[in-house]
Amino acid sequence: MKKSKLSKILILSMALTMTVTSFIGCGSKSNATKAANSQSIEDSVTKVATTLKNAKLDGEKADVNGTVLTTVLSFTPAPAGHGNPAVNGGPDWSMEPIIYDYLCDYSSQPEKVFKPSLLEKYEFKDKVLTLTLKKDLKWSDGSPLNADDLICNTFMDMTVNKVAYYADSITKKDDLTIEIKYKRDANLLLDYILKSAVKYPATQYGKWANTFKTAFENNRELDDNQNYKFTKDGDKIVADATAEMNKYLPDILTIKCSGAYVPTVVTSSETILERNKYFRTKLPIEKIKGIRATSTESTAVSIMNKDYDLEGVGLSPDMAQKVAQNNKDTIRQMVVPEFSSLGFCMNVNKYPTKDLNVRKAIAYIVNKEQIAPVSEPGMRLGDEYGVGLPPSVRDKYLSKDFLSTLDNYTMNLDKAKELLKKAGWSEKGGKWVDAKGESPEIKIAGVGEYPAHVVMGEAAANELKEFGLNATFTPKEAAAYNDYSISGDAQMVVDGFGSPTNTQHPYEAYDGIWWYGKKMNLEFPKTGGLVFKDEITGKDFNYTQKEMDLFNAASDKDISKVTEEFAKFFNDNMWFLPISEKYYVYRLHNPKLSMPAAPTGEELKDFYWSGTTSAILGKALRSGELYYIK
Amino acid sequence: MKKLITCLVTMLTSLLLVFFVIQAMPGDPVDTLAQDYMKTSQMPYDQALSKAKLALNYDPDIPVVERFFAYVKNISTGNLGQSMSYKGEVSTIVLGALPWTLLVCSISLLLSFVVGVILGIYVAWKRSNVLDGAITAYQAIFGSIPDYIVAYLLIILFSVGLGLFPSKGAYNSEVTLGFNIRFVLDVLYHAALPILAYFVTTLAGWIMGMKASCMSVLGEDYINYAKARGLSNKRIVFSYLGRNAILPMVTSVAISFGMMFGGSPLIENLFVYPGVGYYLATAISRRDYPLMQGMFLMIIVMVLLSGLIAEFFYTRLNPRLREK
Repeated sequence: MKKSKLSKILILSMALTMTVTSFIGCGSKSNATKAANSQSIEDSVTKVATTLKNAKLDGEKADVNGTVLTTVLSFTPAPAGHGNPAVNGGPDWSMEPIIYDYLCDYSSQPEKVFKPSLLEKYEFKDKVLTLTLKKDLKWSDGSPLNADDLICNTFMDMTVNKVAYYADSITKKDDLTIEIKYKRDANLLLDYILKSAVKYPATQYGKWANTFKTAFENNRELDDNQNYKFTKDGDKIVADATAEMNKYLPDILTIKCSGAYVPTVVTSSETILERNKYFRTKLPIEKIKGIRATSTESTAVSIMNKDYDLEGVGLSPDMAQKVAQNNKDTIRQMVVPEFSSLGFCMNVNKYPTKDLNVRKAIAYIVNKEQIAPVSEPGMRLGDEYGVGLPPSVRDKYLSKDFLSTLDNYTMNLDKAKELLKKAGWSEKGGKWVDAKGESPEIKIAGVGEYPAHVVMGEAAANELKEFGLNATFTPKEAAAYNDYSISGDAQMVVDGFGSPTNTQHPYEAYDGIWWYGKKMNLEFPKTGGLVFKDEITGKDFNYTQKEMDLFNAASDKDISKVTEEFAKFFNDNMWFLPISEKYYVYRLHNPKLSMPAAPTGEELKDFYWSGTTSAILGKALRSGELYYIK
Repeated sequence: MKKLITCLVTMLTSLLLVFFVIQAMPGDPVDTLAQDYMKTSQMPYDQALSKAKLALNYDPDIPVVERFFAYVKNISTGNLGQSMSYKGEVSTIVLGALPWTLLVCSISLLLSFVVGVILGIYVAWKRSNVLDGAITAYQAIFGSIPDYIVAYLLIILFSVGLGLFPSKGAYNSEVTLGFNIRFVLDVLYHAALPILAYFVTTLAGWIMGMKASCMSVLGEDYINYAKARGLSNKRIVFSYLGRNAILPMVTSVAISFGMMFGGSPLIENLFVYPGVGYYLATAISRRDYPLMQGMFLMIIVMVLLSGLIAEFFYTRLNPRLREK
C-alpha cells in the first residue's frame, strides 16, 4: 500500500513537471516570436550602449614583455595536424595571416589599396608586373627570404593567383626581383597575385614548384577565350606532383614562417604562437594564444570564462545579445563586412519556379527586411534589386539612377498577386492554385547546421504559406545538402550567390555562376561559353563573353558599364533572391587592448576592418596598430 | 574455434555493410572539399574543384565493387589507407586518437560499472522504497538527457561557476609532454569533467541493470537456502547474490567496452578532446571514406573482440557453463 502510494506520488510529480515544462516551452516560443523583430535584435546585439566606443584606446602603451593575446584559431591537432599549408590539416586561413606575411596587405574599402608588406614596391606596366622584395627579409629560422622563394610561391599557388591561366612567363631578375609577363592588361590580375601569402620556402617546396614550372612552360595551350589552360600532359604532371607534395607532412613546430609569429606549442585545444625573432618589424605582443573552436557550445564556454581578448565567432542572436549585455562596460563590437550575400537560388528548370512570374511573385512575398537582421548577428539587408552583388559592392559600381530603372523587390503583396494571376494562378479559399487547380509544392532546403540557413528557410516558407502558397522547408546535413542542392529537386535553396569575398570585384560575384548555377538548375553547355536567354527581352545574353569584358575592364567606369548589363539580366530573370549581406560582429573583450581606430556598432568601410578575424588581427599586428595600454 | 569463425563471418558481413552504406551516403567528398576550399581560401568554384580533385586520392569512376575488393585486400595486409582530407595514414590517425578516448572512456566505464554494480546490489538487497524512488528518478533524469547536455551543465557548474576544472583540452600547453608526473597529473585534471560526464550519464543504467538482475536472483532457492543455513548477509550478498547476478552484466560491460572505442563525437567536441569521436565526426562531415571505414573497422573489431573476452570470462565466472 505504502509502495503504491509512493509510486503514485512519483508519477504525479513527474507528470506535473512535464506539464509545467511544456507550458514554459510554449511560453518561450511566443517570446521568441516577439523577439524576432528586426529592430529589437539589431539594437540588442550591435547597438548595445557600451562604455567604450572605439577600437582604438587612448593611453600609454604597456610593456611588451609578458603580453599574451588570446583569440579563436582554427587548427588541426595531432595526430592529423601537420605543417604543410597546401594540405588539409596544415596551417589554414585562420593561422595564415599570423604566421605568414603577404606581398601586400589589401583592402577594397574605402578605396582599393595594396600596401606593400613583404614587397618593397611593385609596378604593372605594359602587361608586365615587376615585384621587388624588401631587403634583408628572413624566414623564422634566420635563412634569407629572396626571389627564389617568391618564384617558388608563385608556382605553388599558380592556379589561385591565376598565373597559370593568364601569364606568359615568370622570370627572376635578381635576388629581390621577379617579373611576370601577362597576356592581358587587366588590373584585376593584381588582386590575385599581390594578396598572396609567402608560405613555401624554396628549400623545402622548390622541387614541386619546379615541376609546376615545367608544366607551366611546356604543357599549356590557349582556350577559346585566348587564356591558357593545361594540356592533358600538363594536367597529369601537375596532378602527379601535387599527389607527391600532399605526402609531405612536416611537424608544424618545425616549419619556416615568413610572418610575425611562429607556432611553438600545439595541443588539442590551444596553440601558442611566439614572436618571430627574425621578423622585419618590432612586434607589439609577445605571444598569441589560439583557442580551437570546435562547436558553438565550446566557444560559448570560452566567452563565459572570459578566455578571449578578441573573437568574431558566429553566435545566435540570443547568445550574442547576452554577451553584449553582460559585458557592456568592457566589450567593443565592430561590424565587419564579409562582402557576401545570402539568399535563395531559384530552380529555373522545375515547376513552378521555372515560371519567371512565379519567381518574381515569391521575391515580392518574402519580407527581406524582417528576415535579414534576425538571421545572424551583424547581418544587413541584402540587395533588394537582385542584381547579383551585395549592396556594399553594388553601390560602388551601380548608380542610384541606374538602379531606379530596375525592379525593386521590396515586399509587395499586391505585385505578387498580380504576377501570380499573370502566370495563370488564382486564389481559392485563401490558397493560391495554378491553372490546373493544383497547389504545387515549393520545396525549400538549407543546411541544418547553419543557423542563418534555418532562420531564412523557415521564415520564407512560413511567409509563403501565410500568403497561400504550398511551401515547405527542409534542413539537411551539410554534405547531404551539397548533393541535394544540385539535384534539381528543390525549388529554392538557401545559398550565397553574389559574393565577391576575395576581390570585391563584380567579376568574382558573377563568376560564381559555375557553382551556384548548379543550384539554380541551369543547363551548362558541354563545350563553348555560357549563353542564356533573357526572359524579359528575349535576347541572348553571352555570359562568358561579358565575364571576360568584366575581367579585362581597365577602369571603374568600364567595370560599371559591364556590371550594368549583368545587373539588368539578373534583375529581369530573378535567379537569385538575396535576403542579407553578411557582416559579422568582431568583439574586443579586453578593455586594455587597442586596435586600429573604428567606431563600435557601425558598418565599417576601413583598410583594417575587413576580412576574417585572423586577417584583421594579422594586419593590425604587422602594422603595429595593435597593443595593450597600461 | 566455432566462435572464432562466427566472429570472422560477422566481421566480414559488418565490413561489407559498413562499406556499402558509407559509399551510398549522400554527399560527394570532392564537392564537399571544394566547398570547404571556397569558404576557407575564398577560391572560385572551378579552382576549388580542381584543387579538391588533386587533393583527394579518390576516383569516383572506379566501380564500387572493385573498390570494396581493393579495400578488403588492403586491410588484410594491415593497410587502412590514407585519409582523404588529412592525407595521413588512417592507422596513424586512429592510433593517435585512440589513447585519449580510451583514457576517458575506460576510467569512466570502470567507475560507473563498479559503483553501479555495488549500488544495484545494495538497492536490491535493501528493498528500500526511498532508495528505489531516488534511483528511478535519477535514471529518468540522466537517462533521458543526452550526455553532451549533461557535459555542458557540468562545465557550467564546475568550470564556469566554481572554476574547479578546465573546460577544454587534454592538457595544458605549458606542461612538458612526456611521462612525467606534472604531465600525468595535468592530463588527469583535464580528463576530470569528461570522465564525470560519462560517469553521470551511464551510472543509472548499471544500477538498474544490476538491480533487476539481483531481484531475479533473490527469488532463487539457493538464496533462501543460504539464509536458512544462517550464513552472514555479507557472504550471501557477495558470494551468492552478487556473483550470480553479475553474470548478465558481463556481456553488457563487454559490449560497452567495445563501443567506447568509437568515442562520443559530441562530448569530445565539447571538451575539445582529440579522441576517436572527434575524428569520426570530422570524417563523416567531410565524407572521408577511408577514415570512416578505418574508424568503423576498429569499432567492429573491438566489439567482437570484447564479446569473445566476455565469453571467456563468463565461463570463468559461471562454473555451470564451464562443465558444459
